[in-house]
Formats: sequence, structure tokens, C-alpha cells
Amino acid sequence: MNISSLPRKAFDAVERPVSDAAESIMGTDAFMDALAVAWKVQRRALRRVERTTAAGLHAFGVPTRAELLNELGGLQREVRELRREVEAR
Amino acid sequence: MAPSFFKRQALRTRNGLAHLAGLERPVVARTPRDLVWQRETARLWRYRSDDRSIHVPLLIVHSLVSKSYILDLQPENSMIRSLAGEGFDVYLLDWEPAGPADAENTLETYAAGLVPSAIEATGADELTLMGYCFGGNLALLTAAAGADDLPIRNLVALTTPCDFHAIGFLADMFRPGRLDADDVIDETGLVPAAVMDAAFQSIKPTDQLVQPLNLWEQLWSSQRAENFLALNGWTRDQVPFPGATFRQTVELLVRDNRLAGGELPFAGGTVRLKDIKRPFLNIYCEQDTIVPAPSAAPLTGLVGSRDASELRLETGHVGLVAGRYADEVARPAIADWIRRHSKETRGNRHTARAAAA
Repeated sequence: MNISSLPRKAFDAVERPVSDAAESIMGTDAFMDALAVAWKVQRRALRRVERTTAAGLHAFGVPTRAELLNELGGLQREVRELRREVEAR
Repeated sequence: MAPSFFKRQALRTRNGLAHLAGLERPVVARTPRDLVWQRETARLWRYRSDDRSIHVPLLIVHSLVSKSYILDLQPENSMIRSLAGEGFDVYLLDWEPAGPADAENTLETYAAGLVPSAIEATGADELTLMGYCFGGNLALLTAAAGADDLPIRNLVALTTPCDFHAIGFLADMFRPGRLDADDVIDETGLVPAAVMDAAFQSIKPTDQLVQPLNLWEQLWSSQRAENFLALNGWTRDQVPFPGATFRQTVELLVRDNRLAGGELPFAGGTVRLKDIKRPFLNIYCEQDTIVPAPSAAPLTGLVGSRDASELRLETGHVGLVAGRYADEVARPAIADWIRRHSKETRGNRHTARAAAA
């Protein structure tokens, strides 16, 4: 028998039932409801931090990264629209 | 033959250090190709080949969810290279990672705009349209919405979700009362790649423990390690998803499960799968954890094609397009069906259009 396959077999013997159990738990309504709540709470906290950071940056007249990216995205969309108009002529 | 235990440990150390130092990154997508058309994030590639004996080109529409190199992973493990080698004139429509400019892109942007434009850009009188995963949804919507106008001779859906209530965890998290689409869309209007990665990782929660061990097992052989890293690297190489398309996906496909009903609101009207009259092949996989078989299977009965068939394969979502099973079973079966449905007949295009009428 391959020596190195023994620890792997031992690992698999533990991992498979753990994985199956984790998947069954994740499939329950209670887990998904709790995960959704946890995600929303985390998201709200992150948004609050982002708003505070943005306010700080705005006080010095500096835009946030997202604002810059959105500005750039808006410009790209305008260029695409212009290109479509030119191609349509 | 595998080297001795001690030799393997030495090789693992050498290859592991080379991997950590970034010296042995697998090179992917090596099949020679030309970019023949590009618009916004859409790219149309045509693969070089000396043998294009099958006269109906094959256009593969890749998913918006992942990177397309899974279809051309490595020279000896490439669905595209294999199909091109069998005489198909292979085109691939893939997508550059979405940026803030794509945040407002909707299903219509793709299925009523970019995919039909790419079909036109091939210049083909008729072609086989094949979509992988969410690319299958785009191909279906394109074919249904443009049934009379597009030169689609055959349609192939590779592990394409239809009944979103049968997907499981990923879709169930977006049922009413849980997460809304906007809970995962960032301030640039995209679902970040990190969120996509976390979502896919959550399907198999112990994967982050198992994969390093799998790598360790393969590491003694630089070739095996490269194969492993190419495939495993792809599974973690996620891309951002356009927010507006994601909102539609959650509302129309996940919550209302409209595709399972055979129709959904589209471009100010309604698109109906029964309007798809072309020969249709639905391929789905028994061990698919991303698009489980019960989610993909109903498609066969929803299209309006008289020639609608299905292949239920004993593999997973990735195993369908990459790996030994793909090479030995899936690709030959797919190629065979397309080849049989690409035989030149007099007035092929007329036949295809008549079938759609």
C-alpha cells in the first residue's frame, strides 16, 4: 500500500461525513435565513464605514474609488452610445 | 510508474517551491485563434484550423459567470481544440470581465444585442449555437427572441439552468425574505468577483481544506501539478457580474422561475422557448452541483423543436468540458450530434428557416 495514501484515507474518512453534514445544514431554511441576516448586518456595517470614509474624503474634495469608477463607467457608456449612433448612420 | 516515497517528497518540495515562487504558472487557452470581432466586453474568437470540413460553423457562447479558458484549458485538455481537430469551424463568444460601464447591462443587452451581433459577425449562412452554463441561457433567449431572423441551424445547451427552484443553495439564498439582489451588488453596480467566488465555494464548504491536499498529492509530478493548478485556478478565477442582469436573474429566473414556465418578459415583450424550432440538444450532468440535473432537464420539453434530444451524463459541471470524462465521453457525444445535424443538404438555410416557420 502506498504510504502517503494512508493519511489521505484518514483525512477523507473524517472529511466526507463532515462535508455531508455541513451541506445538509446549509440546505436548511434556518441556516439560510440566519446567513441572510448575518450578510445584511455585515453589509449595513460596511456601508456605514464606507459612508463615513466618503464623508471624510469629500471634506477634502477627494472622491471615493467607487465614485471615480462610476464616473469612468458613465463616460465609457457615453462613448459606447456615441459609437452605436455613428454605426447606425 | 510513480517514483519512490522519498523521491516524491523531494519532487514535491521542488515543485512546491517553484509554485510558490510563481515560476510554474500553468499557461491556459493556447489553441491558436484570431479575434475577429469585438464590441464592448464581447469578443468573438475564431480558432485556426486546416480542416474545416464541417461546413456549418460552431459558435460557443460562454457564460457571464466565469472565464472562458475552461473550454481551452490545456492543449491535451481542451474542448475547443478537440472540436477544431474534428473539422469544426469553431468560434467562441466570450466576455471581458464586466466593469462599472457594464453595470446596467441586462439580459437584453446580451441576448438581443451582443449575441445576435456576434452571430452576424461570423458571416455564416447558418451555424450551430452552443451555450455553456449561463451562456446557454443567453443562447436560448437569443434563439427564442430571434427565431425567424437569425441563421441558427442547431442549438445546444450545455448544463444550462432552467428550473431555478431546483438549483439549491445558491438560488435559495435569493428566495423572498432572504437576500435581495442589491444585497450583493456593490457601489459600482456589479456583483464583485469575491462574492461570486464565496458563493461558489459555499456549495462545497470543505473544499478549501481538501484542495490543498489534492495539490499536495499531485505535486510530485510537475505535469500533474500543472493540470491541477490550471483547473483549480479556474474554479477560483471569478469575474464580476453585471448588477442589472443579476437583478433580472433574481427576480425573473430565481423568484418567479419564469424559464421553467417556458417564457419570460424580454425586450418589452415576451420570449417563449416554444418558439425555438431548430434541432435542439440539451446536455446536463448527474453530478453537477452548480446546475443540478433537475434544474437543466426540463429544457428539453420546453422548446418547440420537433428534434429535441438530451444527453444525461455521469459527470459534473466542469467535468463536462474538461478532464478525462470530457475527452472520452462528453466531447465525442457532443461532436457526433452536431456533426449529424450539420450534414450539408441542398438549401440548408431554406430548410432551417422552414423549420422555424
